[in-house]
Amino acid sequence: MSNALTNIFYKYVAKRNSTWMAGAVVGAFVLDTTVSGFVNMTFDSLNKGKLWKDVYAERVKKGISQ
Amino acid sequence: MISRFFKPSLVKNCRTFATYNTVNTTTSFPSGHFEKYRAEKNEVDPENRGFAYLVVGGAGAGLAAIAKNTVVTALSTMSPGQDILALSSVEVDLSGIPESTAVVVKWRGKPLFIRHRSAEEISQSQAVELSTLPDPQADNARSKVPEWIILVGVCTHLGCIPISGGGDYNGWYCPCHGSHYDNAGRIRKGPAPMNLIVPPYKFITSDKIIVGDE
Repeated sequence: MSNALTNIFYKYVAKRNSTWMAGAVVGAFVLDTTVSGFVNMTFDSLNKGKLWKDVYAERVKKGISQ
Repeated sequence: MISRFFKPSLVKNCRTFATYNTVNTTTSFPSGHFEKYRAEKNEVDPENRGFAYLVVGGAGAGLAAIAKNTVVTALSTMSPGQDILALSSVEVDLSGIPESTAVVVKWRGKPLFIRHRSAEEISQSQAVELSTLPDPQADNARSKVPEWIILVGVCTHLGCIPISGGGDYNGWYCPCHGSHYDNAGRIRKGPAPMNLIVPPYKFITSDKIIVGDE
């Protein structure tokens, strides 16, 4: 199965330089978004309650901020 | 290998008791034993270029992401700081302004005219025919709440500051070249081409506005 995937990748992306460049740009964008999103989500969940957005929600509920 | 050449001479004249297991004398090897563990050969691409390029491409994409993040972080240090951004908006408390009076507030280096309009002023302004105006704009398009008109107090002709209460239309009068504005800040007479500008503002409570906070 992995052979089939690498063959597809080679045949349609790696063979031509134009598709290779396009694939690199798209891959970089997807990678950046995914990794950033994942790391941010993990950080926020590990620090729940201490971040400003949670404090702000509490303050709005209490009526101090709007 | 040594035993192949020397064995006959070494053992020719002595009695050998040891038995050697050389390559020539091993028993046959169970070759059918290992077929199920052999890696499958890639018929389409025996050199497996796809895998190699996938590794290289993934490393390249990662490097591009690192470069992009570095450049964006470095450039964002040049964006304006919070103290500069705080100067760009002003909060005004409207409860202290009585009816039919105007107040001037400084915002981004320009004067802001805030007028608490009375009922007759509002009806007067709303009754104006739009076709008679040099720059037609309806009154309710210029104010969110009809009692409060908030304008940038810079004449649209050449930038002088109009005087409140002057002019023939109960609004503002620019003394530099004689432009008359009505109480909604619309140009009525004179050389100015456009109505007074309405800045972006919003009501946080019914008594307080923030001008210029986007």
